[in-house]
Amino acid sequence: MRRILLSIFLILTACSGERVKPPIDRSFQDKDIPAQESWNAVVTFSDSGKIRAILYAGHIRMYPEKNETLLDSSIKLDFYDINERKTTTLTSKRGRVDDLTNDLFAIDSVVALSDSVTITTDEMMWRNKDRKIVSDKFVTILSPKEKIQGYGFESDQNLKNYVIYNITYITRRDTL
Amino acid sequence: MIKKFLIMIFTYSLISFAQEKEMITVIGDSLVGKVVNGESIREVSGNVILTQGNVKITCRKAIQYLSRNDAELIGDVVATQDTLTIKTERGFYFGNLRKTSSNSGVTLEDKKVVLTAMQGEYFFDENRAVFQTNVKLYDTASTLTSQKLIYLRNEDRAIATIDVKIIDSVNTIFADTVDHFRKKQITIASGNVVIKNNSNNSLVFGEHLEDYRESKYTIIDKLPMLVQVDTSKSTDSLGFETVRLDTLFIQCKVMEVFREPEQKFIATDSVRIIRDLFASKNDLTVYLKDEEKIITQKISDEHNQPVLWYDNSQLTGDSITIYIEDKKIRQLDVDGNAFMVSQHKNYLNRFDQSSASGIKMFFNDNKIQRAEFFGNVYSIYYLYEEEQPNGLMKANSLDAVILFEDNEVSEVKLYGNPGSEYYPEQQVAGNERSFQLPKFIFIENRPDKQKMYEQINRIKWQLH
Repeated sequence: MRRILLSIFLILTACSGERVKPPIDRSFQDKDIPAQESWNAVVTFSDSGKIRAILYAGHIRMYPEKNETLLDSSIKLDFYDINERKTTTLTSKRGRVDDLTNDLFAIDSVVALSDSVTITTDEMMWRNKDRKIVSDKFVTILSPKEKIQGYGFESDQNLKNYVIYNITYITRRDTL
Repeated sequence: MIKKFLIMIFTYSLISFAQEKEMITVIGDSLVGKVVNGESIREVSGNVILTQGNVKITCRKAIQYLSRNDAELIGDVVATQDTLTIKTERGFYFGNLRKTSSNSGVTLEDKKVVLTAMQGEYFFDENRAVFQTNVKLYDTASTLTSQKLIYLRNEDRAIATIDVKIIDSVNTIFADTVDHFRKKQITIASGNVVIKNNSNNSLVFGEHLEDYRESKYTIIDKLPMLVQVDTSKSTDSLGFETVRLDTLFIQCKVMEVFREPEQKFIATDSVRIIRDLFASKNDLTVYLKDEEKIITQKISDEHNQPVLWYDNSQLTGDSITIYIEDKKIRQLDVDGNAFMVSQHKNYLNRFDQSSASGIKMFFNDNKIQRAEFFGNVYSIYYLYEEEQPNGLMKANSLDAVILFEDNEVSEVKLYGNPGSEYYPEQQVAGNERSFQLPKFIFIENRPDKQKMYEQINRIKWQLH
């Protein structure tokens, strides 16, 4: 019996003539591997020693070659005014930071919340250079007295001054 | 219990529905939200459409002030509510009051009237408009102008104040205040009321007027006066024609005009009439236009007889009827207790007198030609010889006829048991008062044209 098995093995190896190798995924590139990765991260943005925003993310992956940082597992960004008072909180499922511009893109189920206004959209960008929140998607602004919907949005990070396009604006009688 | 519960649910549903209707929706090309001086502002620009229930407003730009609950509307503003349309270049919408306002010229149309003014407010819940400054209301039948007007759509009613003027196909009405019920076609005017009839050149003044167009009836029941400016032509013995201003004044306490079924004018209570040499005082004057007839009469036993003056003659009777032809008096009938007195123009204490049951007087070219007396005629008439007094004649008969020349008695004819007595001048001179018939009375307070003018001048209608 032992001889038979040995014979079969010899026959099989003699027929192929090549060595067997494990499969290799050639599409995978080194740059997909984050240079740094962290969990339950907290990133503080400051200007002239004053806190302007604090980012909370469940998972952060940094890609220096692509100059971007990917955020997922729920993200939250708290904005602070010049007196370091929290004014607005932005949350989303995912996000991305452009490491060259420090612009933050909140993606999927985006909610921006100030003391009186709630803004929801699918995608929103916090633009670092002018500290504005912008979106080119369908945006809904809700306050206790009004509901504004439109396509395209631009606001200061306090959500006090904003522009929204192609709007439908619903308000109660006592607000107009 | 279940019934109460169902009612509560039904009531709640109604309230919820009502609240749903309170929602305001604004559509536009863009919205800018900002805070200015602590106030939240929403600027909606481009193709703005604002709707709240059945109210829809379109404009080029709307600026909403949230804390004040109002919005400024800019550019081609059009507000609509069912059949109502309001247009302006720039205005406001006040959410709490559900009203619009504009100071930039405003036009309201609702298929019934067109209303324009420099300033206007409209309350959508109450269907009420308040328009001011150069207000014009165009109706199918008339145009109203004033400085202020309240238009109540539900009631089809317009209340106009300050310099009110209504122009229709026949009349122009001026007043301080006009309350017009469009559907019922009722107009009530108060304060310095003047009705100007363009077709017959007449003016009616008063302090309170009610016009019922459907029943074609008008009443002026406070200080009414009618003035009709006219001219009359007369030809003298040499054939020269003279045209003179012949203005008619009628003053009374109540003036009524019926336009159907027959055109009738009624002046009641303290009626005073003046026209050239003619004047009258009575308690009731009826003018029947189609019949060209004026009737004045005593309205009860307690009231005075109507009095009529023509030149230096006075006429009284229970009822006096004047027949007119081509604006000139043709015939005059006195019925019941007729009495005629004529004062001599040179001898003022000498009165020709005639009494009868009735008198018929006939005129030509406004001059009396003949007077016919019926029933128990008594007369006293003075005689003159070349303008010098020459006694008097007392006469009685069943009937009599007096002929006139140039409004002076030229001949007296007595019929039916005539009787006469001559009194020579020496018995008459100085005793004129004793030659008076039992019913003799000469009424001094003849209507005065000057007093009529004074009343007109109190009305500031000329300012219109």
